[in-house]
Parts: sequence; structure tokens; C-alpha cells
Amino acid sequence: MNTSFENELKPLERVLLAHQGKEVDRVPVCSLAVGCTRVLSGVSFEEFSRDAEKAANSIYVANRLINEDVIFSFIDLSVEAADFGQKMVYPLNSTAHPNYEDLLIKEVNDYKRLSTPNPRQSPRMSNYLEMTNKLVQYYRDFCPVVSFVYGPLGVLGMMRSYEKLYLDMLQYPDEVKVALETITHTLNEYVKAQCELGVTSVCIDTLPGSRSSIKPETWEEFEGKYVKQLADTIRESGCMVSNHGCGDSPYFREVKKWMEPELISFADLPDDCSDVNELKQIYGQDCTLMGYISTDMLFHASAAEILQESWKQIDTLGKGSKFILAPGCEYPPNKDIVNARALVLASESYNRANLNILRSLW
Amino acid sequence: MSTNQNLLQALNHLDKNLFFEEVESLIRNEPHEDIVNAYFNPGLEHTKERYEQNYIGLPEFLLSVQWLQELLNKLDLKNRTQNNKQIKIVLGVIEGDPHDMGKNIVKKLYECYGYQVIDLGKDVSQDKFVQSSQEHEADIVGISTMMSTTMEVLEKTIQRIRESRPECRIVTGGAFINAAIASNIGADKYIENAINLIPETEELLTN
Repeated sequence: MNTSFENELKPLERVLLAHQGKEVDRVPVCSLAVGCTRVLSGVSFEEFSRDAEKAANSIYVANRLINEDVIFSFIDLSVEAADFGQKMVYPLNSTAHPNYEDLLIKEVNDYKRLSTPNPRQSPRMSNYLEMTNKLVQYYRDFCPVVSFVYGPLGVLGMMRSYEKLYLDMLQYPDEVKVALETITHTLNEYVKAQCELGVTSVCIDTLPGSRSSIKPETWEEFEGKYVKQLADTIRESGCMVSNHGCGDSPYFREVKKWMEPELISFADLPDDCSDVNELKQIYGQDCTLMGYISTDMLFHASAAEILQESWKQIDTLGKGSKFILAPGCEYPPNKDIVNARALVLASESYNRANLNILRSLW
Repeated sequence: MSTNQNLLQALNHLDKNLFFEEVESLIRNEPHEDIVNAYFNPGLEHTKERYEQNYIGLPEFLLSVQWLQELLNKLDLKNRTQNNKQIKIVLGVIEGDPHDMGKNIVKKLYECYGYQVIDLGKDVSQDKFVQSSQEHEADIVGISTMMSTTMEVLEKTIQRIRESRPECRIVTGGAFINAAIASNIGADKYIENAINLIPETEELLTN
């Protein structure tokens, strides 16, 4: 980090330089503020999920207020599963989720009955593509836009429930794999369409790839080989591969093996690292590490506490590794954006004489 | 190998045939009350240890607990005092939250350890929690949530249970909470995971 830049870098320059391990004026920030942005433009959760223009405008307004460096184009985790035919619930005060009383995969035989929607035409995925396209147009050459795809195992979990899926993986692995093949086929078209929009990177969410869920070898068998296909497509399309996994002790080693991501967004130290120094040494040279302010903290803590925690993380991860300061997972969707702004303020004020007063306040 | 070793081996390898062959043999040849202490409880502890030490993941843990629960259900325990703690626990996922895998694991474990569970399911209203805790004279109410959007209603629910049934202990679990936050919103305890569930519940009941 260098405080001698005469002019502030543009977000795109800042992020790309940081990603190359070069000096930047300040640590880049991605707030992962998505669902919460709807409040700023008076949009309901359901409108945010289904109306590309309203969602894109909400994200744009919030981003300008927060002044972050990376735009994370995300709606919610229901997008892909909805287009496979899973019925969704759109609550007034919360993000969309499957109707768990009416899951698409009710019995083991249903795994092989999945259809393959065309993401360019199916309602939710095409709406997402439209939203992402708007964000790319808004931010072209100014801010990198990272788009999102939920990994095949996650999508399947939305249609079967994770609990039943996990039991099926042990008892009916072949049937589960048939569904994973079908889902991967559609997701492959989906990421191709995202890349065509001109996004900087596509982020693949591998939620089950952590100690809070399944064993590493199980993740490799049931998700690793499928996400590899998506990662290859993203790279062949000229985009960067990113990964997000917000479970406890995520499997960076296995994720690297199958996806070779250039950026990893995380909420907890990986299972093979005992501390942050080890994380920096093993993964912080090849990959840009993006994290890992706790979302619990973002929800419950004051802006002052967020500033302090952010400075602490910039102290440790901002030196000697490629780093973007961010929450460990989506910024709490019903929280105001004050703490998202605090993340950016922490980066802006870090080592800046004119803002040092902030650090002396507590 | 002894029956007990066979049973543990069956759990280690998730060998369903071996597990239930051993179970059938036990049911025919052993007093059912003895099976609880000599086979069921060690099997459950063994499964918990392997999960805690990362030898198995959540799928293997879920399946093992399911089989052990099936074993327990096959026993004819006229006198269930051995594993029956006479402690009533009302469990549910808070209003607005449909994620019930964590709650279901907690339910299975509580039942395996002899607690009486009244499962209210998911997306449970404040009124339902309050009514059920009174109706069943709950010793403990366990409220789970995985979403930040439920925090306000969680806090209100805890307050209302506290007012209507002050003698009841309230535990929370899930995401967006930790011990400090649980305490701030009025819960008696935050239980982080399945490994700590039973010892922390026992500690709560003795305090």
C-alpha cells in the first residue's frame, strides 16, 4: 500500500493493481451489499428478485453511496433453482427461498427427471443476465463487475433440501450425479452468457465445500469435477474465475485443484491454515483473498467497531498478500448500509494523515 | 469381533446390512434395557467423536444418527427410565426462516439422549412458541435461526416466552448469533453445534 499516489486510483485500476500484487493507494473494498440496497430505492424483496432494472438501479445507488471498488452482481440464491421449476416463496421481509413444502425433487427417481432450462430465456436467470448487463453498462471501465453462479450442489440442495440431499449422496450417489450433470449443463450456458456481457469475473459459490458440510473428498466427488467445467468455460471466455464459500473451514486446497480461482471470497480460515500468516503464505500469493469481516458483526456492531475490525484485517491481510476487504458473505440484507460505508472508510483512512483522527477516537 | 465392535464397524463403513443384522440379533438376544447402555449410547458417542474429529462429515453423521434412532425405536422399553430424562424441550425455527436442517439434527440428538422433544417445525410464529411452552410446561425452549432478517422477531419471541414462562430456559442456535448476542437478546445460552449440544444443555439444566 502506498500513500504517495497524487490522485486517487479509479476502482478498476485499484483492483487490478492489487490483484497483480502491485502497490495501490488503498486496499480495495467490496461491500457485498446486495439485498439491502433495495431499501434505498424503495423496492421490495420480490421486486429486487424479479425486476432487473429496479435491482440494478438499487445496487448502483448504494454503490455510489458506499463508494466501493468491486460491484458484486448478485440477487439471491434462488435464481437458478427457480428456473429448473422449483417453486419459490417471495416473503415481504426476507430474501426469496424455496417452498420447502413443495420441493421439486420429492423422491430419488426425480433426480433424473430434471429439465434443462435455457438461461438466456428462462425467467429468473434471464432477468439476472439483464441486471448484470445493466451493471456492466453503468460501470464500464470504471469498476469491475463480478457476476455470480450458485454451484451445482447448492442448486440441487435448493430443490431437494440439503438434509435429504446429503443422505441421498450416501445412499443413491448415481442418481444424485445424474442431476448434477443436468444442472451443470445449464449452468455452463449460464456462465457463458454472463461472460458475454463483459463482466470482469464470474464467481462460483461452493457453499457445501467446507467442514460445516461435507468431507473434502465428498466435495471433490460431488462438486469439484462439475465446477471444473464451469471454471474452464469462464476462463475460455476470457474472464477471471472467482470462488465464494462462506462455510466454516472452507476447502481452499480442493477448490484450487478443481477451479484454479484467481480470487477467493471467504468467511473463515481454510481447513489447512492455522492462522492468517499461513493463509497469506499458502494462498495469498497466487490468489486475491477477499474477506472476511463477519456478517454477524456487520449486523450487530457499530460503525466504530467495523472500522477497528477492518483496520485490523488490513494490518494483517493487506500486507504481504493480494487482498480485497469485504464481508465474509452477503452484507445482511435487511441492514442499513452504514457499516458497508464503514468498510470503505476504514480503507480510505488507513495510514492517511488527514483521517488519522479516526484512529485516535477509540 | 464382538457385537459392539461390529456395530461400530458398521457405522464406520456405513454398512447398512451389517448394522441392521446386528440390531436384529441384539433385539432377539439381549434385554432391551441393556441395549441402550451397552450399544446405543456408545454408538452415539462414537459417531459424535468421529464427527468432531472430522473423520466424517454432515451426511455420514446424519445417516448414523438416523440408524441409531431406528435402533432405539425398535426397542421395547417398558421402563424407559434409563434414557428418559423427563425434560421437555420445545424446538422450532423462528418465524420467517425456512431452514430446518440444524433444528432437525438437534431434535434427533435430544431424542437419542432421552429428552422429550416437542417439534414445532420451521417458520414458527411468536404466538406458537409462547403457547407451546406454556401448554407443554417446557423446561427448555430451543429457537433456531439461520437468517439475519429474523433477529427482531427472535428477540421479541424470547421476551414473550420469558414473560409467560419465567422458569423456562431459552437456548438459541444458528447463524448471525454468538454467545454475546444471544445473551444481549435475552437467551440463557447459545449452543454453537451438535458436538456441544448435550453437555451445554446439561450444564444449563444444573445451573
